[in-house]
Amino acid sequence: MIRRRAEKREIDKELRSHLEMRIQDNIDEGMTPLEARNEAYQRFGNLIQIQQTCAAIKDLKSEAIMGAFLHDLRYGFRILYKKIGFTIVAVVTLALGIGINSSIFSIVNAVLLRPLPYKEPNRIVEFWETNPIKGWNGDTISCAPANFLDWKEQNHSFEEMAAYLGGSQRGNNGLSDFYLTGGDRPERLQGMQVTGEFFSVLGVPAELGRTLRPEETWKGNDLVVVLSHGLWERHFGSDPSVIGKTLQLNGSSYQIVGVMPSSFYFAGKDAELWAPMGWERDKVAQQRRPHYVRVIARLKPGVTVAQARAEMTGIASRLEQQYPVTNKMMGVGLEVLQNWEVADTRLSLFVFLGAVAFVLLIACANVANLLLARSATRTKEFALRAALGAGRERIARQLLTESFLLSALGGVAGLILASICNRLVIAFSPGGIPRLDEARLDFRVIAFTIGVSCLTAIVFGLVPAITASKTDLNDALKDAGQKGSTGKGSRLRNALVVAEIALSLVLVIGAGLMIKSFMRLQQVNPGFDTSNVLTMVTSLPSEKYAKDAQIISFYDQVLARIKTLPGVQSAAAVMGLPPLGSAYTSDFTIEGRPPEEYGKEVRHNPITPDYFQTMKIPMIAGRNFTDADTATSLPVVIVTQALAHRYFPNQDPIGQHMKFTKPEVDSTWYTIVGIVSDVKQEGVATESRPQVYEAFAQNDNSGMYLAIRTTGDPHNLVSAVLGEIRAVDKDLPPYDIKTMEEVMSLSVGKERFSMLLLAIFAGTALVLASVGIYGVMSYTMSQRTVEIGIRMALGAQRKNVLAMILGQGMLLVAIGLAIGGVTAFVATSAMKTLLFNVSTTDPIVFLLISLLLTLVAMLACFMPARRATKIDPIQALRFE
Amino acid sequence: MTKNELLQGTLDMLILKALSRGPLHGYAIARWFERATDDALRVEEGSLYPALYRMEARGWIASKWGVTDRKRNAKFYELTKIGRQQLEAETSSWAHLSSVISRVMQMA
Repeated sequence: MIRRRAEKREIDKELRSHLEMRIQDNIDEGMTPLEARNEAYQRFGNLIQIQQTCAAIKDLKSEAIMGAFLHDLRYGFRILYKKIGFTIVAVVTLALGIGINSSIFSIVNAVLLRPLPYKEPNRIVEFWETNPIKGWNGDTISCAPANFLDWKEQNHSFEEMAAYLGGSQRGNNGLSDFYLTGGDRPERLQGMQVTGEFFSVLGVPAELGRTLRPEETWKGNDLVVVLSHGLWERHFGSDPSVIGKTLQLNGSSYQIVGVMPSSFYFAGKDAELWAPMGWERDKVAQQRRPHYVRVIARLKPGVTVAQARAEMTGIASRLEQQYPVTNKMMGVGLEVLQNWEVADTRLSLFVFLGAVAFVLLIACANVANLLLARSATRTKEFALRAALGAGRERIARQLLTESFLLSALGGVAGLILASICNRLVIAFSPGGIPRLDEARLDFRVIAFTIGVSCLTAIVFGLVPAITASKTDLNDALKDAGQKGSTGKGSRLRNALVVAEIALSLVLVIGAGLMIKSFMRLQQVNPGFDTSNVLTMVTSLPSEKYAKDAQIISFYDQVLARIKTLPGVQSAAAVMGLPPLGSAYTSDFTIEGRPPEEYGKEVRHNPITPDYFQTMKIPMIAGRNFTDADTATSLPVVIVTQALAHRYFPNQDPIGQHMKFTKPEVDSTWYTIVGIVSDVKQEGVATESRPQVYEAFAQNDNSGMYLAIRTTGDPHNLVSAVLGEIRAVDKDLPPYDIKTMEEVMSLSVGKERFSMLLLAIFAGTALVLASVGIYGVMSYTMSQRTVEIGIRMALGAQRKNVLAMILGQGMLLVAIGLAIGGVTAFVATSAMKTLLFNVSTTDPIVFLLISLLLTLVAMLACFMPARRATKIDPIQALRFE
Repeated sequence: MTKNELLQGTLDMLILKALSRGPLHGYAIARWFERATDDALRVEEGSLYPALYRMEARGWIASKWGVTDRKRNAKFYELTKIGRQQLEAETSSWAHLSSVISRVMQMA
């Protein structure tokens, strides 16, 4: 309808242009404008009738095209339905290629590439302190507050700089506990403590009310809080009048000044509120030593990261000179925020992108092969049609329509598969993968994969059109039975199959390496008995438990009560639960050693006396802590074997003295009373570092893990244990209640996830490759029915024919395996850092996988080969 | 063949010949006829266009909007490969036809 109007207008334009040119020429020849006009119109003829005739001709043409298209469509459907086997295989191949790739690509996109929800996130940088002596070069990212304040004051590169409390233990998100009281039950909220400029750095305004102000960093102005959107919905029912109300947090009255938008989050999604640091100015200005804050800043417009880095390095060395004791060799590093957060997942994500590319290639090769094979069977059909007058364009158009149909079906199936796959992956993934839950199917991704797959379908679908026009009808009719495993077409097909096998070999080997690596990870001896241990965290609010004595008393009571429960073998409290990391680190000095030997890091872990017994960690020498080790008795520590080997290689550590400061600083000397076996404190893949255990009574802490060894299933004792804790303090909810085995499993969650994803890819590749081999073999067989019939009629044994066919098929497979094997050898070296305890060229993996692929390929070859030998030779010959 | 069909077929052939030297717009084809036949052949100018549209539908010519040397917008037509083949075929069959007819007419 619209087209008709546009066509009419175009015709009109053309005819009028003719008339105007005639009029102009007439005027040039001397006529008056009026004469010129009349002459032109008269000469032209009946303008309106001519217009209508032209429009009618155009209409007819459009109808003819439309009719042809509809006819092509119907014909295409019929063809696809006739060869339903082929259609299903092709559609499934496309669906797998499009679906799985889109899904995984979207995930990669979400995790790695989507920008953070802040204003110009590539202008925000995160800081860390470096120290070559201590071995800090970017792993430890906390800074000292006094350094932060000086950087803030002295820099010219940043618009705004802020600090926040971040975690220092693996698995600890660094959030502080805010106990909300005043309701019917105390609730434990997780909040982030920040300086007042925090939200200015991120550039995100509040949805309701306002964010924090710089002056609110300091004690006295700090009783304000900004709520997360989730907390506001949950706790206040999205009540807009919440601004100005007060909350009782940790015993103090905080005023609610703002609510953040629901899209806002920072460093994970667990923070439910943001509250100021509440620093005391004089105290904090001196704090150059405990490095416990993280720093972020926004670059001034026009300043580059490199320039900022240079300036900060200058400031750091100025501070080094000003404060030689604390800031010796203390440098500063900074990087744009986004990079830092996903740095450790980047490599694995790139590996996945590679896997995606491989699967896509295999799928396209499959589709191409299927179409090529099919085209070989249709030469007769097309030669006939060409002879009957269908122009080459007509045939090509029809093939195009068929390819589009196939692509459309494949695309739809792929989309469905993609959304299912997406949901499954997110549902089965562990926590700790940043922004995974944002992974929605990205339209660019879908467009890309559909585009690539469909392009393949179209290109290879058009092959018969090209070959058909060059074929003489006679030749085509003659050849129809004999084209198959010879000739130009089949060479391309064979090459595609070889390529598919090579690609899938590389992928499956990669997956195999990851699986072996994960198995090795799980086999690591953690150094303690992980079965039948219940763990949980208890965090004592400082207002109620201000004194050491109160804290110690709490834990004494709780542990005593728990031990009386039936089903409990032993119980203890520990500050750093392996493998989640130790409690904290410090300098240390060993008595009698030269002063230069200070400064190295040692890990600390306060424990109650029953800890080693509960975790079944064997003592090697000396004694355990006892109830006799109190705050007033001799300060004692127990060292780990790693520490003993490293620092007391020729000496018995027991009886030696250590203090946990630099040599020139006066502090308590501790006596080493025992050596205990190493555990994987920082994670199963990390080597045990030198560590000391301290007696809880001498070094208490208000946040401790409880570890409880049970005789049966630890889950059965959860409510009983909670009951005992409530009996000591009813306002104290323990959290993170898990068995030790669950903790261990979660700690390798990321590695498990990677392994599973890669296994999915490998599985898909394997399926596709086998389908490819099967398909090609089937079509080859169907072309060679005559040849086989003849052979068998001439007396060839069934099994000889089978062997010959299989042999030809397996030759392709062998070539593919060879190419794939060499490629895998080279390609897997990129995975080196992802593998634990497994070489990238592990021969067993290579061998096993090659065997697996050979078996699969043999099966795929075998079935059509067997079918071929069942051919009745007489039938086959009669077909001719 | 009726008189109209004969004329139509001939018109088509003449248009193809006109375009054989290069692309022209509709008006230019009309002027070419004037010059080439010394204005002896007066065709109703408008009837050019249905012929052009028919030949375009058959794929003998292709059209494209362009600008004339007098800076006017006009639709230009040019021969396609098929069109060229058609012109050759028609030229030879016309030559054959006209020689047959003149031989007949020369008979006593």
